[in-house]
Order: sequence, then C-alpha cells, then structure tokens
Amino acid sequence: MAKKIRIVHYINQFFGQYGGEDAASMGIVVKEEMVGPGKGLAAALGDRAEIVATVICGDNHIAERLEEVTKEVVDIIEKYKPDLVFAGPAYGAGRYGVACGSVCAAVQKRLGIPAVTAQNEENPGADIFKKELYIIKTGTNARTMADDTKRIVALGLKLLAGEFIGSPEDEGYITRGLARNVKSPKSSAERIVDMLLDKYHGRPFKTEVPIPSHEAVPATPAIKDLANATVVLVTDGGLYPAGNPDRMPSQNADTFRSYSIEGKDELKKGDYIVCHNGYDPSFVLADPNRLVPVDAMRELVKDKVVGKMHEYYLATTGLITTIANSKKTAQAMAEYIKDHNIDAAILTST
Amino acid sequence: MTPVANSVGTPRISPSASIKYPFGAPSLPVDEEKEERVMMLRDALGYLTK
Repeated sequence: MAKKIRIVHYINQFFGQYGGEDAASMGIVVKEEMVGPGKGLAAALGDRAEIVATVICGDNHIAERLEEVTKEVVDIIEKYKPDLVFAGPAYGAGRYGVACGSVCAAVQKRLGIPAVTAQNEENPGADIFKKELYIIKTGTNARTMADDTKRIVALGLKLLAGEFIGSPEDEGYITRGLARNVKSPKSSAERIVDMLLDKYHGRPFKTEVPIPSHEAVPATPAIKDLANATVVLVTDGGLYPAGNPDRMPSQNADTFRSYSIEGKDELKKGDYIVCHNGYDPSFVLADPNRLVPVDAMRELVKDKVVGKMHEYYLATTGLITTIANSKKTAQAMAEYIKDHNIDAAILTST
Repeated sequence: MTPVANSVGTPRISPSASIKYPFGAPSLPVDEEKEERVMMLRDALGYLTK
C-alpha cells in the first residue's frame, strides 16, 4: 500500500471545542488526532491520507501577535513533517480568517508544501492572503461545512499532485488576481463586442478585467492646528449605555448612535454595556475608558494638546459586518461629523 | 486589528496591545494605566497632524 499523505490541520478555539470568546486568548494546543472540522476533511480524504496533528490556537492569542505566533505554529507544524496543511474553514470570522491565511502563507513559504484554507470572500483574511494562497470560497457560517471540507480536500490533493489548477469558478477558490495566458478562439475585438451586446440585452456576461474589491479611499488632509481642533471619539466595539436603549445589534450593524459624555470626566464602570459578540468584553466592562478614552481626552484638552472633545461619542457594532453595511454606517457618521463642525475622529476597533 | 485596518486601506493606524482593550493596559495599577492611556491617545492624535 502506498504511503499515506500526512496532513496537519489548523483550527481556532471554537472549532477546537474549547469555547467561544471566553477561550479566545488561549495559547497553542496540539492534538495528534483529528478534531472538529478535521473529521469532515478525514472523511473526504479517505484512506489516502491521515491527519497526523491538529494545531488549535485562540483567535486573540494569534491576532494580537500575528507574526510571532504564526512562527510558533509553523515550527510545530514542521515537526510533524506534513505533506499538506489545511486551515479552517474560517467563514466570516475575521481574526480566525487572518490567522488561517497567515499560517497557510507561512507554511508555503517556509516549508515549501501546499496549504489550503477556506473562508468568506469578505473576510479580511481573504483580502490579505488571496494573492499568496488558494482560499476556498465559503459562505459566512458553518452551515455548508460538509461541502466546504470536500472542496478544500479536492484542491489540496490537486496542489500536492502538481495538477493543473483551473479557474476560480471551476475550482471554487477566491480569485487571486493572477493572470494566465489562454488561447481564445475569438479576437479581443470580437469578445468585447459580444460583451457589449450581452450587456445591452441584459444577458449575463463576464469581464476579463475585474475591478479590485476594495476601492482606494484617499487620506483626509492632516490637521494643521490640533490645539484648536474638535475631536470626536468613535468606536465599533459596541459600547452602549446600560440597557442598550437603542437596541443596537450585537453584529452586522448598519447604523450608529451618539451618546452624551457632557460633564463626564470618565466613563464609569456599570454605566455601559458591550453589545458585540466578537470579543471578550470583561476588560472594557471593568473600565469603558479602555475602549472610548474619555478620561484621557479630558486630560489632553486640559493640557491644550487638543482643542475640544465633541460632547458625544459615536458607537456601532463592527462584527461580521458586510462592506455594504460598513459603508452605510460610515457615510452616516461622516454626515454627523460634518454637521457638528468636528475636525477629526479617533476610532477604536475591536 | 492592525492587519485588517491596513488591508482596507486605512491611512492612519495606531496599533494597540489587544483587541480587548485598544486604549488599555490592565496589567498596570489604575493610575499608571490612565497615564499610559493619555500617552497612547497623544500618539494617536499625533497621526492626525501627519
């Protein structure tokens, strides 16, 4: 019988069955067996391969020191002498997606073996690493896990065998922005007229030059005179007054609210809640100034470093938020900032 | 969240120690933590002038 393909699988604390946000700071744990989604991978792999180890790591642990912890993870992976590495699927989870991308990219670079992950196209991990990696395209949640793991395995085995990798549509991975020469039976003039006619008649057509997903946003001009500027504090960390009076959502917000801080030297513990399912809120609940630094702004206004603090802070929930909803919220915030003669914003992100 | 902010093209990014407390340093005593926070905020405001 042929030698079995050796596989190492990287997953986070949630899929490793250690818990959600409460366990997101856990360090690296290695299990010499398949865990969680590894079972689906193993089923798709059959007798050809064996998951020799599963590396489990907390999303915060790796996200907070990405390069350092990625290196530690790859050091561990190397010890198991794998032929192929899988990570995730990470779906819409941002920190997990970045971790999977970082680990796979480092495995390919350092160990010279193929690595495949899977995530949603809007996951920041996909955006950062799609140029370096094959990332199987998934939805935003684990409902489609059985099919996703099959597709990860199929692509991974092809890469390992050095087989031809087809187009993103055919193989189900996120477009990497690579150009490959292909022979077309039609000239470019014919193709562009075909495309134009399809567009004119409302028929589906496919561009040959897709526009990159993120538009470039020019930087706003620098503040010339900070000592006379009005600055507003903004957060996407879901900090709302106790009781969440506006019933702001715990994820995917498409709006924001402003809350008065007039006469407050600081944000007091107990007066605020965190409505955001994406991070452990205990540190912010213990001292909300760690997220919206009202106390420090008061000091800097007193010291005349900055002119004024706008007497309301702006809050939204930035978690698994679609780009469309982020834009909607940002545009509304920009309107607010213009209407209130504010010169600049400090936005804290979790 | 620095790599995320970077990937979407945010022009001014002030890194923090943790996702869980962008303007915190919970290992310090309360007074020193506040001093640290004032310094972090001063740095962040500094980016606005560049």
